[in-house]
Formats: sequence, structure tokens, C-alpha cells
Amino acid sequence: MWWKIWLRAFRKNRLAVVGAFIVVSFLVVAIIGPYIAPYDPIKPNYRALLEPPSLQHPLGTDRLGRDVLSRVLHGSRLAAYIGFGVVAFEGIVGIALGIMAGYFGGVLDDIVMRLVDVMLSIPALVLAIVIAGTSGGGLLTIIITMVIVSWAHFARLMRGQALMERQRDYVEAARAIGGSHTHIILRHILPNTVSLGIVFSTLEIPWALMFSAALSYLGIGVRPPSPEWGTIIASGREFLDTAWWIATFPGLLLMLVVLGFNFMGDGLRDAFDPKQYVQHKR
Amino acid sequence: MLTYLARRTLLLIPILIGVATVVFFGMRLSPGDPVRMIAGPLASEERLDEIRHELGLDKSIPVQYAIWFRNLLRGDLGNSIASGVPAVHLVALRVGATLELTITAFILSLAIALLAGVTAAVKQSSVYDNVVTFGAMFWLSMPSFWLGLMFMSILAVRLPFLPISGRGGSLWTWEGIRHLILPALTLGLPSAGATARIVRSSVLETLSQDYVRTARSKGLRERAVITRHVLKNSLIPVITMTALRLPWLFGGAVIVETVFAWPGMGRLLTAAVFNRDYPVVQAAALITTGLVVFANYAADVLYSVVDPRIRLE
Repeated sequence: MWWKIWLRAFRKNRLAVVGAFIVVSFLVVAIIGPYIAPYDPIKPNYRALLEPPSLQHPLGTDRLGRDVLSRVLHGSRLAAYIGFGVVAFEGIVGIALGIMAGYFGGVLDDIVMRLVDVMLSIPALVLAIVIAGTSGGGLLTIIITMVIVSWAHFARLMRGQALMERQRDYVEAARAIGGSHTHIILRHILPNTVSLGIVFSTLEIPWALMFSAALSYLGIGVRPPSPEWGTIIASGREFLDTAWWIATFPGLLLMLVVLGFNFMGDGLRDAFDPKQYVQHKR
Repeated sequence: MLTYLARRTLLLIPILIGVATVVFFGMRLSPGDPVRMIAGPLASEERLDEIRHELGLDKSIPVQYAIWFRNLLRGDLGNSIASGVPAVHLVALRVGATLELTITAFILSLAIALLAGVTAAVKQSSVYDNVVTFGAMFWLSMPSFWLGLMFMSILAVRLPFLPISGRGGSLWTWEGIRHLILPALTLGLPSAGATARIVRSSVLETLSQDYVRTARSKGLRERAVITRHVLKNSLIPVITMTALRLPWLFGGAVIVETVFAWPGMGRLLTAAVFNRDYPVVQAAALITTGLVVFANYAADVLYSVVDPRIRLE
């Protein structure tokens, strides 16, 4: 079974395993976080303003007396929604357009590729600020904005794959026995792009996490008092000297999760690389 | 060579038009009514209609686009709602600061990445290599806004070693450099991490090529092999990748400028968005993107100079 080979290769890469562990932990926290959070993440508590980390508040409290740990735990679920949601939609749009452009070629390919070139020339953050900033933020807006800004990456990748696969013999054979385009795309081309898609998705998620945190930091993301990690970090900005814990911990956690996804994605990419089985890595 | 150049230059026009169009639609298709946001929640219907007419938003979209495009060609991007000053002027004042930051960060990141990437690839699988590989991943996973805050906290607030924010004057003054250090590092280090990985894998790829083996078997010293053959050939994918990362660099500049209150276009952009000063938002977005398009163009030209194979395509 092909996935056993892959699993073995993945396990050999220690960093990738550590990364996978971090990712799984993140998912677990995202699911159970809001249930185990000791305090309400939104309600202010005026008797515990700006308290340093302690036994009751392991990560301290912010300027409204809210427990930072609870906010971070709730925020992890939000981050997971955004991260996976954006990448899923980005993937659907990007893969669909990319494969169609690569497979059908011609005018469709030209149009899609011009569009991709344009989208890739615009700094994602600038465009996101323009779109999200002029509309006031909110979870759905952020997800849509991020999909608009990022689908081009997937599309370009998948187009290349489709172009390659289209020329293969089995596609020609399938056409020869009368396979329709739809059939060929769904049953032949798409499955061969799955591994690439998985690797790419795993590496897009950390981007999505960092990007949404950046948008929230700038105040254009999910609306406060939602405990998005970027928002928490922003709220700690003015207290860098007096209450350093507010800005520090969420950022540390964000970095850790991003690192985990990156390690895991790297490991996946190496594991899926067919060159592994043919020659020794130098 | 010239045909490639001509083709690439001609390509600039549709890309610029496309980019400007995307920004145009980006501002108009967002849910929520910008007029309502300018006027405030208490404004009357007449006031809303007034503003809509002033901004030309009461016409149909194709007409708006035509008018907007014509103004764009004239260089008229509207006046700032807050100050009445032409938006283009406001942005032009800030271009220098942003370029200063971005170019410095770029050079820094490239220098670090080349040094680390090449040396790590040459000593593949050594402890040094592992440290560099891990370090590169570490830095590229760092959220730049958080890194900026941490730098600020440790180096500017705790130890009053470096200034906390703002720009200190021209690049050629000590004050100017002092203020530039933290923002440039914040922008450059994550980028260095990403680029270092690319450099390293590119050098590794080159090292396994036949002509390197030939050079070595000719008796060339290792140092000469590297400088004469490996370096130049490894640079090609690096240039491609670097060009792809340019939009990211300018986007990152927006964040870093906001964190460090650096008086550049990025900061203007975020401030304008908060003030609902849409002409300024548009102008800043367009000019920033224009710069990226030109930078990409320059990178493509450079690429064709470095790799002659491209010119023959």
C-alpha cells in the first residue's frame, strides 16, 4: 500500500513528527478549548485588571481583567475555523480553476493565467486591507477576503499538474475509448493531484493563521471582543512594559502552531517525493 | 534578448490595468456601505445621497469604472476626505520611507540568506547545516507583527538601547540608522529564513550536477568550484523565488510600519482605512502595487540576463 511507504518516510523525519504532534495538539485544543477554559473570554472583570501570570491566571489578565489563557483557548478554535475554512475554500476555487485551465488550455487557460498573474502581483495584505477594511471586518468577510487573495497560488500549482497529466498516455487512452472530459478530470487527473494538494494545503494553513492574526492585529479582522489571537496581541501593545504577558503568550503560541504546520508540511512534501524511492538522498 | 525585453515590457500594461481593476472592484464589491460609514450612523437619507453623488457612487459600475480609469490615467486619484489634499500627494510623501525600509530589509535578508544557505549546503548534514535549517524554519514561522513587538519590548523598552518607533531622519545619519534597525530586522529576518531554505536547496541541487563533478575532477580547488560554477548557477531559482516574494515583502512592510509607526505608505494605508478615507486607501494600494509590478518586471529582466536560456524561449 502506497501510504505505508509514505508513513515510513514521514516517521524518519523527526522534525515532521514533532510538527504533526503540535498540529494534533492544536486541533485538540481547538476542539475542547472553550470547554476547559476557566473563565469567560469576553466578560470584563474589573477586580483583576492587568494581573501578572499566577496560579489563578496562568497567562495573566488583560486590561479588562479577562483571563488571557481563556481568551487564547477560545481563540484557538477561531483560528482553526479560519485556518481550515480559508484553505478549504481557497483549495476548491484554486483547484477547480487551475485544473480546468491546465486541462482545457486555450482561451480559458489564457484568461485564468492572466488573472492569476495579476492576483499574484498584488500584495495580499494590501488587497485584504482594501477589501476587508472598507467593509468593516467580521468572520465571513475575512474568510472571503483571504480566499480572494490566495486562490491564485493553488490555481497556478494545479494548472501545472493538469498540464503535465494531460499529456500522459493513460489520458490519451481514456480519450480513445471515449471517456468524456469530465470523467477524465474526475477519475484520472484529480486523484493524481491529491498528494500535491495535501502538501500544499498543509503549507497554506500556517499562512492563513498568520495572515488572519495580522489582519486582526491591524484591527481589520474579526471584530472585537472576539478573542482572535491577533486581537489579543494588539490589545497588549500599549502594555509592553507593564503587562508584557498579554502580547507575548498568544504570539508565542501562534508561532509554535505555525512552526508545527511548517515542519509537518515539509515532512509530507519530502515523504511524497517520488525521488526518495529511486536514489539515495545525498 | 530584445524581443524578450520588448515582450516583457508590453506585458506590463495589461498587468497594471488588471491590478488597478482588481483594486477598483476590491473597494466596491465589499459588503457594507462605504457611504454609510463615512456619514456615520445618524446621517439622514439626503446626506447619504449627497455623499454618494459627491463620490460619484450613484452612477452605474461601468460608468464609474470608465470615469475612474480616465482619472487614473491623468494621475488624479481623488482628494483625501479628511484633508482635501490630493491623495497622490499624500502617498508620494511616504514612498521614500517605505522604499527605504523595504530595500534595506531586502538587502539584509538576501545577505543573511545567501551566507547561511550556501554555507549550510556546502556542509550538508553537518551540525551547522541542521542548525541553519532549523533556524530558517524558525524565523520564517515568526509572525512579523509579534516579532516587532518583542523586539520593541526587549531592545527598546527594557534596555533603552534603540528607539521605540518612528523614523529618525535620512539614512545617512546615525539617528536615521538607529531608527531603521529594528523595523528592517523585523521585516527582513522572516524573509531571510524563507530565502535561506531556497538558497540551500538550490545550491544542493547544483552541487549534484555533472559539471561540478567535472570541475572537481579537473583538480579545481573547492573554493574555486563554488565561486566559479556553483554560485551563479544556484542563483537562478533564487531570483525567481525572490521575485515571487516581493509582494509579500511589501505586504509585510505594511505591518512593520504600523508596529513601529514608520511613516511609510503602509501606515498611511491602515490609517486611511480607519478614517474611511477611501481615496487615500485607493491611492496607497495602487501605488504600492505599482511598485511591486515594476519590481517583478526588474526581476524578470535580471533573470533573463543571468540565465541566457530564458531569452531563447
